[in-house]
Amino acid sequence: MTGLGLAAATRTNSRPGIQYIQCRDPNEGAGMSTTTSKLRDHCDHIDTALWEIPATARHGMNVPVRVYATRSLYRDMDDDVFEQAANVAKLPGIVGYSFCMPDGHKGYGFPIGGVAAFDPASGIISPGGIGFDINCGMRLIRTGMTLEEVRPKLEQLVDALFERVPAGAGGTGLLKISRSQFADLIEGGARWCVSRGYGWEEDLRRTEEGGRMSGADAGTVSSRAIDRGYNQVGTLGSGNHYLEIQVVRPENIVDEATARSFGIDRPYQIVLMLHTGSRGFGHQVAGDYLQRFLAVMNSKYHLGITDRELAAAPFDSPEGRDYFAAMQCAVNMAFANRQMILHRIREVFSDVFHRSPEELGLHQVYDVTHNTAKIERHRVEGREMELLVHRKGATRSFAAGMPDIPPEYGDIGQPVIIGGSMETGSYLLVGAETGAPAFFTTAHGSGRTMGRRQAKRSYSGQEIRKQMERAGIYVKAKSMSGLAEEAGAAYKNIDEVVEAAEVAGLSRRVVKLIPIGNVKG
Amino acid sequence: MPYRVLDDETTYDLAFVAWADTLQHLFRECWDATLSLTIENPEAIEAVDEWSFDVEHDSVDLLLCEFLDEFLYLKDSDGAVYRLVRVSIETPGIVSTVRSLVDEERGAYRLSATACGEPIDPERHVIGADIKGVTLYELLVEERDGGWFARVVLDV
Repeated sequence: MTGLGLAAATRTNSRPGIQYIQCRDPNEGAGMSTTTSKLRDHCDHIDTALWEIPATARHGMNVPVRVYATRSLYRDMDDDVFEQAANVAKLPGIVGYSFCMPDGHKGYGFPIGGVAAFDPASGIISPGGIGFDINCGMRLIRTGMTLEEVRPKLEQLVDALFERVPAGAGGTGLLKISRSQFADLIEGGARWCVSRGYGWEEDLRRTEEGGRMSGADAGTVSSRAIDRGYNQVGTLGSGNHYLEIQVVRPENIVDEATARSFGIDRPYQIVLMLHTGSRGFGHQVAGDYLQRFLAVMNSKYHLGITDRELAAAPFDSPEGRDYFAAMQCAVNMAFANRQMILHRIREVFSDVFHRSPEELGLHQVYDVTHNTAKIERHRVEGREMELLVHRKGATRSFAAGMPDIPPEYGDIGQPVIIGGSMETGSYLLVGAETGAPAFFTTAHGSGRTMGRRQAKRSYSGQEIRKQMERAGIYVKAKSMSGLAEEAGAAYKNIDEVVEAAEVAGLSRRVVKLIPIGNVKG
Repeated sequence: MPYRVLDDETTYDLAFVAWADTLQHLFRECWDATLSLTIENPEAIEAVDEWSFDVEHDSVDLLLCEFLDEFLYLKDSDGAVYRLVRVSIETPGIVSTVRSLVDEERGAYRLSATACGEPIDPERHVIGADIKGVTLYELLVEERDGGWFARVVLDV
């Protein structure tokens, strides 16, 4: 392992032990392609919900681009999405295609909804291909209760969750731990929490990677990142992160048998959905390594990358291996973060209903990440290969019979949790065998169509709250302006996104979930 | 106001542009913009604690990135928000066109700053966005029309 301290430390202040990384070549990164012709003009509509840009469309592309979208989602995609996906196609060691999911939109470097697999021997790893909120993800919890039982206590529940699940700027975590305990936590993930009584063994089984990536090494993480993270375990954050109480309406059950296998087995059943990630910690880890990669990617490794946001290092290099280990720490932090919030949800429900979480049937359905890079085995042109799969704003969607699926779901497929806007609803999907061409990946959410400030200018938080209350959704938010930024109209149509994913064979719909209560940062 | 929050710079995050007569003033404006997006009534922040820090970088835009990162660091590590009291920037003295000389001898921009603030108090502070990071997306710091101009995109 190469310690971060080997890089030039250029930041000083009165707090000891803070290290930071310097970019040695500030002239790198002239930006994106300057070609004027639109990539959209090179796109072939090769199947109902699949579009392809050939590798000849831009100089330097190693593989074609494939975009999964219905005609209308494709039409509404920003031109930059295609350029960004083409830039990803130029990265060394990319295998197959540079993919974009149906909810794709412009991101930093990679598009959000971007999927790219690299040969671990010859390919790269890139923080911009994972996202800065490492292991931003979704957790779905079912209850044994129905709307009739919960409705009378809804406001009390939402108020208590708002009070007891820290959210927004300045919220400190549920877990009071030292920096050295935090170092253990980021290597142990949700497993660390459950071993201390914050959850059940079955929660781990029903979490991607069992709630812990085993390659995490706290020694690869800067003390600055640890400072930013150690008091944030069990916090929701702000932006599009939320905790939602939802209902399963009978008319929204698409696949009753699969829903039943996931424990969704009664009309008007109440479930909870949680969307958050690794908070400032993950961002600091990604930022530290972005700077470190900028310093070496061209001068030492001659990768020829011109966009600073696509900063990368060979996966098989000291820098690449360190980032992979540090990224896994952030993945584990996010699993622990969601685990602690689940623990608090169980406490709140138990207090409000005066029954134990077991009696209330508060079982986790699944926890799935949508910002990661992982080593997986996939078939490429008939040959099984080990690949480093980057998924940024994209969800793993394993089919029945594949490894790393909880045994109880083994012959059904992996649950996939897709968060919509807080006004329009979310989805539980299941992985499909036909998802193999995209390395078993599907969408992650509905994707924004409107800027935050534009949404804030167009809607007021108070109006949105009243509008939601008229629709039967009780909402509590730390920031009223933040609430306006998350207005449903600022997002793509979630129904169209999951339909496109289904038509493309990436995943199948199981049930649509309608919010009745929402806690936001 | 010498900074302006952009309405639709991206479809995912917050962004602002700032301009000032000197580099120091530009950095101050950028700090104030980031602060006002986090706490919508920054005048309510009292000077309970003082924090001094130094940052250096050979690239002025990445210097700004790290300078603003200090604000986010204080917010996340201490749950506190700080108003900038003082900032000074020493610009590189020797300019060379030879890359190796630039790297080895030109040195860097050296920034020294002091900020004062207090822990976030939801009773007194109007909470805005919980910003996670400063991105490199379209990040720009440049001399323009005899002054300085910056564009910054923040990740929420």
